[in-house]
Amino acid sequence: MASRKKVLLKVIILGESGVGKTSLMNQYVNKKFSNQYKATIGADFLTKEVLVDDRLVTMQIWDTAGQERFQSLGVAFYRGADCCVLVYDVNNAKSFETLESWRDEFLIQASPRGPENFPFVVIGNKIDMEESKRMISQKRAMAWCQSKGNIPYFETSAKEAINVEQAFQTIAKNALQQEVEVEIDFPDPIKIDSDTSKDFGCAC
Amino acid sequence: MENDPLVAQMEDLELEQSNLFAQPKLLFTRPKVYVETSTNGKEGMPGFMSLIETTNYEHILSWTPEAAIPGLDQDSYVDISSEGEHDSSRFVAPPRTPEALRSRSFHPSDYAVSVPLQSIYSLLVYPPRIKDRQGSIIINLIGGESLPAFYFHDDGLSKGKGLPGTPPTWGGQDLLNHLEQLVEVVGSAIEPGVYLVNASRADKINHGAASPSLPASSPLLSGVQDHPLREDSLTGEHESLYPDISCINQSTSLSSIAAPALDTATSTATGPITVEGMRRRRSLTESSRSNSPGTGHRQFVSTTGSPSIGSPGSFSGRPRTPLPFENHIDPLVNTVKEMRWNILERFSQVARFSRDAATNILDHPITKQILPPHVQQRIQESEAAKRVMDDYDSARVYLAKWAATVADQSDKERREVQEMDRLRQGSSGTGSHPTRGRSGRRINDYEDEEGPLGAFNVLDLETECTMIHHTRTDPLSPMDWFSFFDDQGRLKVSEAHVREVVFRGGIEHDIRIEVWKFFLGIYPWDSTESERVALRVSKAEEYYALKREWFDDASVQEDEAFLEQKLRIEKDVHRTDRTISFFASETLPNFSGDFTGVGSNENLELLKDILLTYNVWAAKSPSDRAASTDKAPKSLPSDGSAAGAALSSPVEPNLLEGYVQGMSDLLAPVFAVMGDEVMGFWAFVGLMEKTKKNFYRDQVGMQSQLETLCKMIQVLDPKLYKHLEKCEALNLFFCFRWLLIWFKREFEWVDIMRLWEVLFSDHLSTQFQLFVAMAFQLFVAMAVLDKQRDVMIDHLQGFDEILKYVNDLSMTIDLEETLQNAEILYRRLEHVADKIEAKRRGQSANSDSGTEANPELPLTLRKLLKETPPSTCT
Repeated sequence: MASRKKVLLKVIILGESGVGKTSLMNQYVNKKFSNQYKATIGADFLTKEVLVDDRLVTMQIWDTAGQERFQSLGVAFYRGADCCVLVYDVNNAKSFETLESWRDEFLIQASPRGPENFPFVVIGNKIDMEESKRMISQKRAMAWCQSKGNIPYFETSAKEAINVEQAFQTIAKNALQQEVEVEIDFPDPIKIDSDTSKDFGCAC
Repeated sequence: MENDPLVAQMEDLELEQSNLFAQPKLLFTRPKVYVETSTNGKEGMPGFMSLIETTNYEHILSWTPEAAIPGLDQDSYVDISSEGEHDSSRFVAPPRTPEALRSRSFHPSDYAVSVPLQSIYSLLVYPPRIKDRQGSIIINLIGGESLPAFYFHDDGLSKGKGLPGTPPTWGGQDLLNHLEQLVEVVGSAIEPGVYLVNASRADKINHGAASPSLPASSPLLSGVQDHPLREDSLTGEHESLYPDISCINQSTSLSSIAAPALDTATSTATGPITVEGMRRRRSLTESSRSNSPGTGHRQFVSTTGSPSIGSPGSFSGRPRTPLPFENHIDPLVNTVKEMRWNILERFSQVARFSRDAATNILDHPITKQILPPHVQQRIQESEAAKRVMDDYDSARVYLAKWAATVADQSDKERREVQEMDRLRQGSSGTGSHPTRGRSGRRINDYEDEEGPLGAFNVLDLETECTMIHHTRTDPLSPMDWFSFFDDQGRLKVSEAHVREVVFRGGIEHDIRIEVWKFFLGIYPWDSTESERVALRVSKAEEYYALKREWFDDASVQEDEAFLEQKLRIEKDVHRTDRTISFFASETLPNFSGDFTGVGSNENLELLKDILLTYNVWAAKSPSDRAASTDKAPKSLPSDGSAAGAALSSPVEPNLLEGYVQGMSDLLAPVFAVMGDEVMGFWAFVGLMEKTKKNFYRDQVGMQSQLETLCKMIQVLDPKLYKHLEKCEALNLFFCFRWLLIWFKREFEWVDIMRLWEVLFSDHLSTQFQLFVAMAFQLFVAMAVLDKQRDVMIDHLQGFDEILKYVNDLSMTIDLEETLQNAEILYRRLEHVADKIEAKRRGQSANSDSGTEANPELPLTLRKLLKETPPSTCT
């Protein structure tokens, strides 16, 4: 049963380039911040052991490239995700406006079972910047989250380590719930999406 | 029977003989030898100390608890010991264990211990004193371990057993006497009470114990024998007991290693002995001892008992010199330490068997062999330990890295040896090193593998290809470069020659600024110096005209699409190569204000301008570009074939659609080499001509490269291909970053310039850029994979693990080695093409119907090769 099995939670971080996806991941896993992280190309991940509801789980946090040009890679990276984190920069309106397309694209490519219940978490990052630069109010962001099925919303600063831990605790919790639900609902999963993943790579 | 410690030990020792029915000889035994335990009160646990000769004529010192010996055999033990001068040839049946013993919760047999005499390093002898009637002996083993102290109680024995008129012999002395008959025992002049067993010459010297030839009944020993019970025998008499150390100095020729040790030894001989001093000597003697012959046997058979045995605490209160080996050896700790390495080592082999191996490591048979049951149990009880064992992902990636380091080290050593051989043989200095780039890999991998090409023998290929060499040499020097030109400054050697030279060695940095302009299409290969001067002027005009289109136009500046592009570029430029001094400084404020608050500098601002200007340039159709200046068409990269330009140009602008992440990575090195904005821009244009398909919206450039690389793996390394298939990693997305920006994130800055000029040179595979924009980078990728393939196959079990491992290779890859292997791999593919072609010809000559079964090299791979093998089909 699942309680005895080692749990690996796969979390995907998506969002416009430069909103701080790599910084959030590194702040959470390594407790470090650098403003010199290069633009992520392709994808990478870090793992972290966390205690969720008295259960020790491993979070595998995937950091992806922010430019939509590379979304076709997503199939390979998104598969088997337990939670998707949508990140925007509260000082950049466009990065907020594209959240919807990031969400839709994820659901298409990851094709999770029960997409309407798939756990997302939204993070508005860079709240350490001066208030005058802020473009998206908390109210607006929360309204959008509510309209998308009550997505949990956090405002963070990866730079100042504000709210990062809390956000990822929720991410882990929701991911674990998803993982458990998947196990119960689909005790014998059949991979029907394996063909779609081949449309990019080697067909030989 | 199985439970009996003695028998078990015998079995261990005699496993090879398996002659369990032969009788071991009991040479000596002594009852009432006590070992301190936590449970047996003040006296400790009584047992028998014995010397045994196995059927293998090996001698074993053994201590067996009384409780572990059944009544019958105990009698025979006592019987022998009470004989005094016992018959050494008497056979003793191995003791048997009653069934009852098995059911006991407390196992005295846990304390049983036996060691081959060859594994004994020294004995610490503490004869009885008045206050302390039972003397003790501590046995130190070669490995540094110590057995627990054995206390020889004589009380119950001396009555009536000793001959009248002679003092009763102390049991420890008895043991020494018997030991002496089997091995050489010499006393240390420096450490009172220390007796070295089968000591090496160096040890003897260090201990001042070396005399030219010590007779079996040495004066040292007899001295102790004569006064075994005198209270001050250790402190008062040892000086007179031992020969003058200066005599030893004169009579012994000292090895250079032993000399300093002797200095230490003699200088401390009269002073107090410190633990630290002993440790120093110990390390010296150990190293010399381990080198001496005859100490090969280190087998230590022991049923490891409770950790409390022999722990320093148990000796507290005993007045004696601090023992050198006592403090730092806890046998259990030692064992556990060794086991940890064993586990890692074996685990690296286990890991390949199944993905679950790591999580189930504690259940694995190999683990059971390594870990004694009680340790296994302890690990299983410990949450922390379990977590470590469970962490399969990181454990495997960690092990993979570890294995790669080890393999790399041996590979380097092998290369060095080869290089030495080459130099010794004085082969010609053409730079054609007969280095087998791939000889570190396992040949036998190919035995059962068959590539997609069917019938030809891959093993043959592997053998044949060992003769393929790379041709790497020194970089092009300024002197050679200038010698390529005539008085007019026109190239007098062929373009192909320059390409080959740069392919083989790269370019010295000082002339990169010039040479790259040829390779990146700024200078035509047939230009003269004056033409190039004129070009520089017109290029500058053209550039600034392009820049003005966005820089001076307010409407463009306010355009939303432009602003969005500008923001994208600013974000990336400010995080591009900031560790390189050329881009590091913060002399200007960050005008964009958006990113991080880290200051900017002039070069960063120019990077932004160049990228924005490139957007303008790329958005123009080729005819528009030509209109802005007459010379533009001529300046297009000349190595793009005319057909290629005609086919691809009209659709380019729509596909590129502005700045894409990765472009700033490509621009930074060419801008740094060019050193100014104008030439930086045009060099970037030239580089983008080679790489722009990577950035197309439909990603067709990346897709075709990954597919081609995949086919290359399938042909050149079917086993790796199968492994990737199993890992669901055939999309090769872990190579995406490599190919998108030409390994920019994988190699150090200086290496990137070297790698790129090799790729610029396009010496191999020039013909089919249309299909695969440049091709040699695929062989570079193949070379990196080839280097890692054993580790990947052995250790990495899934797409995520491979991706993580490959990402973490960044900045650890040896460029020169990679380029050598890349060239060799190119030649291998060529070789495969030739072989296939030969086979096709042979088959089509024999029968026309067999064409279906003919092996065929995928078209994309054939296109990678410079000269397509002549086809017989048409």
